Amino acid sequence: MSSILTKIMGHREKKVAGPVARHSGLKQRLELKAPIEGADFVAFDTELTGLDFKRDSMISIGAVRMRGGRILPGQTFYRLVRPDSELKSQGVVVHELTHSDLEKADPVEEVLCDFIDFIGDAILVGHFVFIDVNFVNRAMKRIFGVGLQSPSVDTSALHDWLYESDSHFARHHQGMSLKSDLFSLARKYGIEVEKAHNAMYDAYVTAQLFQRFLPFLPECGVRSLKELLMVSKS
Amino acid sequence: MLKNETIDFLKNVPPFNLLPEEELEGIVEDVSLEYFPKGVNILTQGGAPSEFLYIIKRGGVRVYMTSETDEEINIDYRSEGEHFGLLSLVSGDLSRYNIMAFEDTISFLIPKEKLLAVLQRNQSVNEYFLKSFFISFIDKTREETQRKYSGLTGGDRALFTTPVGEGVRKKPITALESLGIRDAARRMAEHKISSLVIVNPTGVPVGIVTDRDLREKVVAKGLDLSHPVRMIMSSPLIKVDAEEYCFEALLKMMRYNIHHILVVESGRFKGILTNHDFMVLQGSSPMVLVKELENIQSLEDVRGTMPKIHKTVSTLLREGAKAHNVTGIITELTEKLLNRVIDLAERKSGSPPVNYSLFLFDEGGRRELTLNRAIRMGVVYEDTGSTQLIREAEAYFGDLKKVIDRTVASCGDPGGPDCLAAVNIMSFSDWKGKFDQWAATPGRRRIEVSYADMRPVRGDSETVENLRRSLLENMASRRTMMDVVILQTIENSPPLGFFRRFVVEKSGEHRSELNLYEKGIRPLVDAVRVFALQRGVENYSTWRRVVELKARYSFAHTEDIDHALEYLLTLLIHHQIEQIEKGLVPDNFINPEHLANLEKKTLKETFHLIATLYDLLEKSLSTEVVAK
Repeated sequence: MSSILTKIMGHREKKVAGPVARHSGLKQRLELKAPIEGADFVAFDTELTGLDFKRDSMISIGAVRMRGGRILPGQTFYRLVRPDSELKSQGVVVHELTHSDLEKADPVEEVLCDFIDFIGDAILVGHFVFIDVNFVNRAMKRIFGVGLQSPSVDTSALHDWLYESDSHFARHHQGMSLKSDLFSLARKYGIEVEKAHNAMYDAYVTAQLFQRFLPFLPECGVRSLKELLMVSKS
Repeated sequence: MLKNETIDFLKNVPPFNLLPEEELEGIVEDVSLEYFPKGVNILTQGGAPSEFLYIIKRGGVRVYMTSETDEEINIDYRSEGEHFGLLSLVSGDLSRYNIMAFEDTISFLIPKEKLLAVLQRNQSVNEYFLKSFFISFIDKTREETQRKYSGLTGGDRALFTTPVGEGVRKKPITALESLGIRDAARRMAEHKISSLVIVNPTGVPVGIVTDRDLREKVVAKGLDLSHPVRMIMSSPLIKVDAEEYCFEALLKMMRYNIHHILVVESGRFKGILTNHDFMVLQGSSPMVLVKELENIQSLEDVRGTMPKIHKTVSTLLREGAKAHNVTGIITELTEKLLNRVIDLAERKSGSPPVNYSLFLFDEGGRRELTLNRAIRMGVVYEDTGSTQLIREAEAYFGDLKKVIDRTVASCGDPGGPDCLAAVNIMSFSDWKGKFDQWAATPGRRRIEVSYADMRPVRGDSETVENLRRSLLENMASRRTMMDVVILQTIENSPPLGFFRRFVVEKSGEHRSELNLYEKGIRPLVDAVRVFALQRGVENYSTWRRVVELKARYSFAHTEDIDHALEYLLTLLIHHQIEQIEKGLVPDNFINPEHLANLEKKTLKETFHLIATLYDLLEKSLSTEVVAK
């Protein structure tokens, strides 16, 4: 038994230490004056048992890497998380995940560690990203004592900003969406939605949404990461 | 996951479909997906070379060059499943063309190093990229189509691959035009030949004397045998160039109903090709069928000949005939049949009350009939002051129309096409008046542009040719009339949706099928017709128009047009033959979903070409119209 424990602990020890330790020093490394073009992004989404981050928990994380406006479909992350709170029954239906699926999943610390490793120094991109960030941040603080350091772009905020700044974007799409949920936006801007409510695909849709916005930013004076973060704050 | 979806996409895109799964997986690791809003320049002519091979996932791009005078020259349109950026990626120096998204475009990007490594490991993919894109594709697809429909493996294609010059076996026997008939006949007997070419003192062939001439003009009429052969020779000579394929010669022989044809090489007489030579070459000859058609004795027998025509066409296809050969044969056979039907009708109900000429227009006029029996024709009858005669004429042609509809045009199928519409039966003055009115007040009435293809097939041909010439001259010389013609043609242009998917029928019997003729062939043919009319090119057939546009006006895209038309017509005729073999009525509807991937792609390729041509058409409008 002890050998198994050592194996798990040792394994975990190694995995936890590296990426999280590296992550804690992220803020010093970030070059926010760098141009958006060529910068690394990770679009991500989490599935939650509910929106109350005190009571609810994450059940999966999906993410896809981007370089500037280019999505890298070969570089994705999707993991289920073993829940530590009771699953709400209605949540189960939406996610199409069963209890047994989740019981077989990895513990949250392992998934988070791998996720932190996956995102590296990239800027996070999400739709209403503060929700996902809150959940990840809270879990990280609890488990590793270090919060999520990555800056994040909120595509819903970016959409609002484009709406207000009278960009060429609105003309290009013959008006903009008044609704702001991910799927209304996807529909309006011609993004195919194949499988809703799976963190991986939602992350992919978010990435594509971000991709639709990017070409219209330079003409509005948004060229560096810093400027991008400023106009896309949740 | 996304990776698998990307692999699935590439699996359906030539040439990546040729790659093993592991290679695809390797590629996908580094593939990225980029979005280009409509109007964005992706690569710039003279600018940095491409670092990626771009494969379009959705949308489309325009490939164009900018000339020194800042003119934009369209090179190509690429859409889903097609790629761009290869040339400068390989050369590594600079971009050759401008690439612009003409609609919102999403594209997969394969990094240069990755692609080059894959090319090095996979010869087939490498070859694919090396070959000229359009042409190699058409050829490949054509071969595949042929294999698919006829199970052809090797076979005798002599008719289509042997130049006429090679078919000529013997050194020709000639005679001077002043030679007496008796001596000429003796010479023919000596050499056991059925024809003698008559030359002038400088050796230039001026006519031909055949067995038939001796029978019909000498023996039957008791002509003095000491007369010179000049008196009985047939001229002008129907010639064929030694470099042309035997098929062309056969077509000419069918057209003029002759059994001997003169072969010339660089203007000099090389020899004679006879029907017998074709039998040797081919085992049988469509000429046999021509003879049969001419010997039909009753209207009831006409129906029985249809299967024979189909069989001939089927055989020709199997032997590798090109589409324009096949449509040429179909048209010739149809004309022969049509003439015979009218002969028989006249025998039954007497000769017509007025002299008239019969012409084909549209497909038939262009010698581009397929097997769907969409034969459009018209009648020009002699002017007469007598209302009584006019009434009789109308009744006569009404009956004639019924006979034709029942026989040649639709074989008696209910709801068959109206081959001889009442509006196309008019006196010469009425026709002339109609054409003149179009010229005088362009835009008031719809101009039936396909009359520009009117070609006489019976009766006095000059009447029809004069009418056509006046129409063509009006169009070429009056800018406003030409503008109306262009606008009408553009109205019929393929919708932009063609770039994304085939526009299929929304309802009815042919739901989700593609009308290959109306949506593909007609727009192509119409565009070429306008280009020809604008330049005063008078040829009837689209192929001839293309040849002339190229030769005389160095018109761009001619090779692509030729290939596209060839491809579309081949596809259509194969489809029709397949229907006939299944006992169905041949039509123009194909289901794009039943096509192989390569065929689909080629089909799309041809639609791009059409779009390019319509762009050109629009640009050729005079500025006043554009301003409106």
